[in-house]
Amino acid sequence: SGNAKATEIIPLTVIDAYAPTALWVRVFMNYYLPEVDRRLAEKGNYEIDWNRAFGGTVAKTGGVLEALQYGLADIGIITSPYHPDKIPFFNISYVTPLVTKDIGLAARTVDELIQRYPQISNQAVEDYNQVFLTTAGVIDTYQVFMNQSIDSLDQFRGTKICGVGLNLRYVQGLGAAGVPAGLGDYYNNISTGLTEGTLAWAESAVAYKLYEVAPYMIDIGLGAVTSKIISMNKKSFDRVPEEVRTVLQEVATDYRDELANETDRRAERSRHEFEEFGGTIITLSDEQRVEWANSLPNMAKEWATDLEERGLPGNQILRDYMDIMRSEGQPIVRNWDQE
Amino acid sequence: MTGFEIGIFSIFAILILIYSGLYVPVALGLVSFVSVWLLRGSLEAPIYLVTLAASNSLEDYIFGVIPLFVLMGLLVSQCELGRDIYEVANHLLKKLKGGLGVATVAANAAFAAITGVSIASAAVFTRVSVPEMIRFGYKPRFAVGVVAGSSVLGMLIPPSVMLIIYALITEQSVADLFTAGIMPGILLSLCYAVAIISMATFFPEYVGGQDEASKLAQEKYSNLTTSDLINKTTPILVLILLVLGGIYGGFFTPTEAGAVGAIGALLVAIIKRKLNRKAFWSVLVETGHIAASILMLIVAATMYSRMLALSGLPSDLGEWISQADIGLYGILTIYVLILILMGTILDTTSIILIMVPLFLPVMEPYGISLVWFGIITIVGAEIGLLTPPLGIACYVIKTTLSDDDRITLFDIFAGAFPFAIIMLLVLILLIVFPSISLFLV
Amino acid sequence: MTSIINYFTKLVTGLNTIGTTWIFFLMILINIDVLSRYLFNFPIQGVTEIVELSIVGIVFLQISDAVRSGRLTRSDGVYKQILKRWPKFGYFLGIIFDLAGTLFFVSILLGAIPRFIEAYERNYFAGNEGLFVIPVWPIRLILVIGSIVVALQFIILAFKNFKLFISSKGTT
Ligand code: NA
Ligand code: NA
Repeated sequence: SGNAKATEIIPLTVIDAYAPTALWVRVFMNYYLPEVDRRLAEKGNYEIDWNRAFGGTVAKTGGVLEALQYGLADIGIITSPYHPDKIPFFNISYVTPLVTKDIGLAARTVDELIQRYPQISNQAVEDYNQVFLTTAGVIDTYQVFMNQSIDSLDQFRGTKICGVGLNLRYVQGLGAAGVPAGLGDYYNNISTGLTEGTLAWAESAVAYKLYEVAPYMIDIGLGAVTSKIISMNKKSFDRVPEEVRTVLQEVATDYRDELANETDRRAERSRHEFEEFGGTIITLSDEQRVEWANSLPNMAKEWATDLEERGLPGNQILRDYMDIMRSEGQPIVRNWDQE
Repeated sequence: MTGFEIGIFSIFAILILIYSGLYVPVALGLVSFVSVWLLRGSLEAPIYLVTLAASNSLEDYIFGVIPLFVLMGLLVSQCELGRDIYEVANHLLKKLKGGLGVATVAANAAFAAITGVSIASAAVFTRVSVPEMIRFGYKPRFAVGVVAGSSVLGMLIPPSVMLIIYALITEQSVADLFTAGIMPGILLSLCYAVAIISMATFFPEYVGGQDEASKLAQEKYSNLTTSDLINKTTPILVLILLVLGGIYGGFFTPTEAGAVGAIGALLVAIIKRKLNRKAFWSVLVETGHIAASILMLIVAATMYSRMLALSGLPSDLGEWISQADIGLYGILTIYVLILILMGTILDTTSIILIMVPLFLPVMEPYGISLVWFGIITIVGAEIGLLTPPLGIACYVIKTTLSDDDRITLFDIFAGAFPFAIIMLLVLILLIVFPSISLFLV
Repeated sequence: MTSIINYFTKLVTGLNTIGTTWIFFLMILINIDVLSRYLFNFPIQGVTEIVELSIVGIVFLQISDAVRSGRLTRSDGVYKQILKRWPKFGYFLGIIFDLAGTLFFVSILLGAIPRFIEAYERNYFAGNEGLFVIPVWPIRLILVIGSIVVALQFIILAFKNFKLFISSKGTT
């Protein structure tokens, strides 16, 4: 622009352990960064010189939180399920399966709870030296993908199913053994018989060609899961001018919704593609969903107790989360807070 | 100073320090420390850069593969399986011109399928085949040259610690890289064999052992019965089946294959009565030393590559190269030249760990296969095993021959030189025809 | 001084023995996991987490002995020439290199200590509750101990070079 007003340039380093091939990184690059630039350019006072370090070049999976904590980078995308020991609050959607398949709602609700309970943000600042800008998610609903057709839940008994982190507990009650593995290993594990199936979601099933080895999508709809946090080093946050801070935060919220919309669009398309490529979707009956739900341990209660021990009102937070889901008319199979 | 300037400065600082003899991990670590201090403007950032690289970055299941494959490689050497393969190869190939040389290459190729470290190959075949070749009139310089040259097969033909390290830092599948190493390994072996036969035909004086008397002596030597052949090949085939079959059959992850292979090699050693408690302990200690120094190198290289990412140098370099418009082959030419240059003073692991993070972002826009790029990197970096002043394969041979004053370090480098040239020619073939590496993948 | 060094060497080789034994048990553990998975259709929980944490432990238990035995990677072609032609300068350079090693591991130590305290006080763990959980502070303690020992080992190497420096005849 040709105006004479001096524009201050602010260098910021953004990191993620995942490469731009991952949906949330792509949306971050194609939406978040340019949108922040655009809004700052409108006012013309500041410009950000982004140093993009994605794909684990600064921190690998599970390492983003600490890289931000110690000021190696300014902004990053934390994958929350890697830190049940540090930020267990963010596992709330993991421990409440079969409640909602609306990823947008889930992410908005988690952010709403952070507003309601400032202790969560305070702990982040005090313990981990960072400011959470938003929660986000790319998993519309976990499904189980199997190499054989399943009619009754009994057929899961004795099978091996791969997954990651807490979702391994989803199959425990059915008598299946959970085998920990990364997303990239699922295909190989099933094709070679290491496991008979895997926990995944429609978009990832198409992206990783799971229809070739596990063509039966057992549509159980375990639910939407938020697993990402956009977070900023506290010192970097304090250092940037108020105007920039506001933009960084506002666009983060919009990023959350943009990512949710993109996730939904892809989920719908991926279900069709899964079938086009030869996969079969087996929708479980309502009775079977109830049976599955009742097979699960009440992870939500364990989670709430853990939070209480850490000085957070875990039971209250759980109740609020479920209340919002109930008031939004979600297809709740099990009321985790009312047991 | 801009990030770009700090990045460039750091590379020169590292090279000067390493060249003058500072420990490689210390050079990488301290230069990264200072660079990140300058880049981020606080002391907290570099302190945690090094601490996190030393802990978090190692907390990965796949790293278990390194001590386990090193252990397996050392146990396999202890079993004297190298001698067995060599005797079988001799029996089959001795009628060829330069037959004992060709047998050394063939035995190395087979041995490579059960060991992941080239230095194991170099040490084993110095003991096994150099004395035999010299006994039958081959020139010492040629004999050690063949051993040095063919030892590089150890890390090209799977399993290979180098391929695993490359897979780790580029997040490629270990199994795919292993597969991609097979054909280039066979191609390089064939080229070596053709070169040896040609040398024996056209320069019999250089090779030695080609006169009638030596030939007759070789004819009489090493006649194996069928049961000898079975006894000597079975353990190797079992181990290959266990490790490579396990990985490709999807029975094990690479880390598990390392553990299973190590147990397998241990059992073979016990059955063959090649391992008493003391020998086993020294194998374990040696494993610890090798694994610790490789992993410490990985730790330091992680510091350095993270510093590079924070400096923004790789992406600036990528932009600069794309503007210079020298094209993919132009970049690859520069890349290979740097690999060979670094190979004169650095070991293969260090070269891979230093060069790959720098060039990976530069290569990405070209949409090339990173598996293919990995094979090019490993072959290019392994040429350095054979070149002075620091050529690890040649050093290992000299150390193993310590009691033999007839062969100098210069002889070994000179003998290895033709094989380094052949490696370079094969590398050019691999660059021009990516399908050689990729068609099995 | 010599007796202190001897005791210290015992400590270094002792740590190495623990690390070496650890590799052996890792091999056994993974094999049991594989067998259990195929024979009893029952993968053992926690093997992944244990292997992940073990590597850091093994490296920092063994690095001091690797340094003591001169196994830390270096390119000493030029350095050996310097030692041959200008020994006094060579030993001087050797002291600098060894102290640089100390500095490097001290910088790791500076971050390792607070990370150990943090993990201990806040009960950080690897794995997932309800599946398999293992505390991470013991590994971080090994990182602290290993860094201290290897930093001291470098000082001993520097001391040896210093003695050579003193005793060697000076050249220009
Ligand atoms: Na090999
Ligand atoms: Na060299």
